[in-house]
Amino acid sequence: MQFFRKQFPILLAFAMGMTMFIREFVPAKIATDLYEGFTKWAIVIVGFSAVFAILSLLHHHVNRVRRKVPGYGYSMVTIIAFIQMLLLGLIFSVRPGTPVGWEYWWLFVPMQATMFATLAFFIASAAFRAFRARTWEALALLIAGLLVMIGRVPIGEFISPYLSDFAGWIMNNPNMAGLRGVVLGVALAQIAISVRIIFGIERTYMGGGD
Amino acid sequence: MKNNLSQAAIFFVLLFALSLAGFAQEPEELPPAAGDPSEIAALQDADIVIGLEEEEPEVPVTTVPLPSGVTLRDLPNDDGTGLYLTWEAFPEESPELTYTAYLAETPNGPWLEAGSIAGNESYMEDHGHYFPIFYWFKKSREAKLHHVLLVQDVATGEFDAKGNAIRLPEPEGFTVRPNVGPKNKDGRPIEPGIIDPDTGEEKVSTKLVEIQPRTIGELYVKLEARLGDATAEYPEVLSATARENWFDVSKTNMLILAVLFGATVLYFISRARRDPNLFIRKINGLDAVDEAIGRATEMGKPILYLNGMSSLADLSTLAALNILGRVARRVANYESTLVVPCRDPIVLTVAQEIVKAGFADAGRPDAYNEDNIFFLTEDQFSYAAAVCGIMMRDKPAANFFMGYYYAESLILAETGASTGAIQIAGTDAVTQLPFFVTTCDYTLIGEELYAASAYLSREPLVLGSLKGQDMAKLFMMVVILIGTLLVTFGMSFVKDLFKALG
Amino acid sequence: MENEAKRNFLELFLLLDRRIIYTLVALAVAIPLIWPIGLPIRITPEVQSVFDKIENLPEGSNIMMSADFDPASQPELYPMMKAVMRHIARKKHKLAITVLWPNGPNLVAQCIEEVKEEYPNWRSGDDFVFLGYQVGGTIVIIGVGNSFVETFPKDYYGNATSTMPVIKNFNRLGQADYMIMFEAGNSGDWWIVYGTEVHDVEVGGGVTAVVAPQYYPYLQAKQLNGIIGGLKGAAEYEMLMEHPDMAVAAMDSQSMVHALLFVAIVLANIFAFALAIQKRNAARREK
Repeated sequence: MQFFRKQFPILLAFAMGMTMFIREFVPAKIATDLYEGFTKWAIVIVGFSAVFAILSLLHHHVNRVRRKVPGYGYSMVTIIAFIQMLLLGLIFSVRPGTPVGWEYWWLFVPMQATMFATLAFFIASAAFRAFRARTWEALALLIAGLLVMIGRVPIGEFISPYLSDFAGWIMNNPNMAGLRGVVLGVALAQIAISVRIIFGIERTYMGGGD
Repeated sequence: MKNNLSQAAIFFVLLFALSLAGFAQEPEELPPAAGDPSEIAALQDADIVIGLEEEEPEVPVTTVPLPSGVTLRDLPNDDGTGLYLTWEAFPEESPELTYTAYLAETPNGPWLEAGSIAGNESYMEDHGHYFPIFYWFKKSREAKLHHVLLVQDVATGEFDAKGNAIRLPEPEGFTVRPNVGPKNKDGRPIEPGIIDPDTGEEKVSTKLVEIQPRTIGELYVKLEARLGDATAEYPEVLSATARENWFDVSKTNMLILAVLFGATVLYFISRARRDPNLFIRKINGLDAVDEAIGRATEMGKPILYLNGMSSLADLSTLAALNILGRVARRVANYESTLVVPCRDPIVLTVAQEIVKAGFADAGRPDAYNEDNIFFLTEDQFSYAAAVCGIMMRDKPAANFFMGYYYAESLILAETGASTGAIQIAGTDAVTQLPFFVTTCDYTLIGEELYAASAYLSREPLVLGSLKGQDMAKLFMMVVILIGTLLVTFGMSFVKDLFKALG
Repeated sequence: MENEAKRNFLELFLLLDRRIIYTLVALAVAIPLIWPIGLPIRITPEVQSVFDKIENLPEGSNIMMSADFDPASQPELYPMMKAVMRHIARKKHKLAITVLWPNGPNLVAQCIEEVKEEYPNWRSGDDFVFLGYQVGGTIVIIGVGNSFVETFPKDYYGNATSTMPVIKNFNRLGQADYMIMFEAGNSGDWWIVYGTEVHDVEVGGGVTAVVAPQYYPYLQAKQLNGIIGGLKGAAEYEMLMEHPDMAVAAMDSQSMVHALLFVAIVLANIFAFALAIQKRNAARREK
């Protein structure tokens, strides 16, 4: 039993990791079929885990209602919303014109759009609070940021077409260089962590820490 | 000194090995070109003129140049479904000139149209090959242009006059799929809307059957040039066998790089076992973890920890879970409360195990509360709204945002900032970094998140892999620098080392 | 005393309540919607490339579209998707649409209905096929690279795809003459890696402004032929279509908010600098 808890996951990770690594260099059909097969299995596993997630969600909120913790009303709303949407979806399906379709258009879509829209306000307050040039480098960054911000909208083009060109140059050159530097570093770090996982040095995925 | 020398040695070995891989590049030998200007002029003098436009009102000459230097080869590095044709390109070719390849399974047909290109399309450059090492900066010939036409995913059957499919023999274990277009009541493919005058019913289609065998065996190809009504067919019928390849040669340099990188990481891991005192620079965000947990404990408020918006398949989530383990241990030591709302169900199960183990390692298994690690929702903004609600109601004193985030990052961080919590973020999502930097007290940028497990644990094995990763980064930096300089002076061999070969 | 008042004002401004900022942003958004300014919109090369590609394709060309976003990104991506879909219907190209995000299909269905109102002869099955959503991400991309019919035996509306005339000459990604993807996240990377690079299809991207920087490297590497970035990109496409719609209407608001932020940040920095000088002078006087 200890073997299946400790050694087997590490052996499995090694086997799967090396298989997927070798697959990248094999153009034969068997490699594509293997990849598709494994990915389909992954989708099946995710499907099963969704059931577990739903049980966890309901358990969490039912406990909150039972213990009447502050804010348990929100938990009641969550439970009722979950159950009614599940039942209506099973009975009437989820296409436009069904009750779930109505809830999608008149509840879900506006709420999602609202949450995204709050970003505008948060950006404004965060930018006002944090964009202070305390050093020369910060000043250079601030000037570039401000010019890009104004150059990417019609008012910037109205003030001067050079603003728009400058904003484009900033996005395509210094911004690209910085982005690529970070991405390159992240990619190398991901390779290193992958090597650690394949060879069993990193075992976080097993749970239970080290 | 000894360490520096060995590191330098490893670096130069990597560079030399890659140079050798690059020197192995050699495009396939193409037949001698008929691109000699005098030959072209001779062809032109021989009344083979392309699309002359006469100013006088005469009938224009529309004879068509004969394709020359035509070769048919198996497409390399594929699953056996491809062939490709190359033939000489003239210096200026008209877009009205079209080249069409026809395919058959026997030398005498029936011929099926396999592909067509315009005369000013689809070129392949032949740059020759590199000289041996002493002249590595020079190529064997100037760039030469050839037309190329991929004969791939070959449709190799059609319906005969009676509507019966002509099929290739099916090799064992491979699949053949019939035409999936609209069909008549007898199951035969039809041309919708076109009535056959003989039968009065919708016309049976002669559309190519979509057969996709895995190895299509020997096939025959002929090439025709067409300009208006005039055509010129290459006199020879070419044949080639499409084969399934078991190794993608074009990725050889990638394989060498990957193996070398992995070997470097493993080497430094083994070295770290012998000498565990490896230097790692200060990362302020990770040093502040203790401070944040201590602050939360003093205020009697919980600690909120988010693992990001991605699944366990994402390495940044694994890195976040790694840090969670350390944080859980410290929270248990401080006897504080840790709340971990999860977006992914699999991450939830792993997070519960990690926190439980962290509390157990700290000797406080009784303090572990499974209800504090729970699933919220998989929907992005619903999750953000729920977490913001937790922040506004429970007012955690410390917020950790570790993992991969999307647009909701600013909503989470700004809401946390409004509650006065100390915030530490770590993500490799480059588009979200600016938001975290402006709203959080400390931010781990990109690979600092991945270095966290090494930094916090100081385990020699993990530190060693970090060292190997840094060596690889140093190598990449030098290669980029040298390559950029060489390309500036017209020498592209370093750049070519990192391209797909062939 | 005067310095005291000045200093207090500077500090007050720098510590401005975020609710005042939110109110100013709300006004900057709302006022131009009610009283439009009509600022000119300049077309950028990135958007022009996408437009030119669709415009110059021969009539009846095959175009693949992937709408990978959900209602949260609808304000930015829906207008551009509608403008592009309108363009495709106008040019009578054949269109295949798929969705990789589970909350996206209803948005695409709504867009199709709106475009059909303008082009009543644009029919499902004959001119376009809406394949719908399927779980799997990269598996779906690999699947549409092999066959639409096998991956989506039925379309979003429940009709069999194998009998559709549009499928006759357009049954897989490799048969597409162009692809346009609308992305609010990382699915665009999957399309490029597993889809268009494998099947050699030119692709253009319509992306939210937040993720646009992530896709610029692809543009520079010519793996994308163009990018329609954010609401501004959508407005540019609407102008190119000579059919100003939601995106153009929102441009004045976007301009005002940006201008507001510009002024606020500049003033905050000036005041912070002034405050620092005053504090330094006060410290010198005390010495």
